[in-house]
Amino acid sequence: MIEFSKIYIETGVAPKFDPIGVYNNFNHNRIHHSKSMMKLKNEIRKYLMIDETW
Amino acid sequence: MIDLIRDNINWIKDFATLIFVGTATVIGVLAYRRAKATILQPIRTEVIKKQSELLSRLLQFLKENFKSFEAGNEYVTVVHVNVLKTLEDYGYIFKGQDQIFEKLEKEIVGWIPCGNSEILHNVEIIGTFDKKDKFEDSKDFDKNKFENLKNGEIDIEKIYQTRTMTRFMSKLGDYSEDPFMPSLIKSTLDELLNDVNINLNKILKIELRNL
Repeated sequence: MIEFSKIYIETGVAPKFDPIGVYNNFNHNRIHHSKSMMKLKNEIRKYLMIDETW
Repeated sequence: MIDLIRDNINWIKDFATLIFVGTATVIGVLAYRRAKATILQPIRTEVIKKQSELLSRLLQFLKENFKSFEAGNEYVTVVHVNVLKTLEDYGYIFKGQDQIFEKLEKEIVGWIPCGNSEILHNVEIIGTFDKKDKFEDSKDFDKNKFENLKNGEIDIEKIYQTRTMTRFMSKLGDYSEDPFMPSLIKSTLDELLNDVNINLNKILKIELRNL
């Protein structure tokens, strides 16, 4: 909103933008869940003793 | 030899008694533990059965939902919805917005308050029996926000939630709160939920602010 409003208030014209650009920045900065996901899967597999040989 | 035994008979007797009592105690403790395990075994079996079913369902749920979530498909929708709704909240009107918002409204199921102020400015609480025919227009609030924006004051107060995201989070929360969920797996689930909340309430908020 800071960048968008600055340009709009200064020039009176709304800047062109794409929400995908915002998403790209967000995706770059966000916490990714792959590690937690793998940890969770492994814990479940271990708990259920899926890989144990009987 | 016999003389030696006769001389030490008391000592040998005491030692033999000690060994006997010690062995009996160990056997008693082991027998108690075994008996306890045998008595509790049916309960344990039932709990393990329920946990196995629960964890199998959780694995299946993660398999069906998590790929699109982690790959970003759901985050794309969340970001898209929030960018457009935040612009609207600040009073910006853009071309074809009625059609766009008509589509978005079907996706949005609510919002999370995340502003710096403790007051929700555009939420009006009325008394239970107080009938009011006309409420203050929320556009006035948007105008105030826009005026503040001109002065460089900005506070993202809401993160809009999409249907799929809310369903996913709610389901994960249900799994985490299930009384049969093992504590180790529950803590990992909570960690995951916490990460998603940080992504939405902090990181997305910063991105919307900097937009």
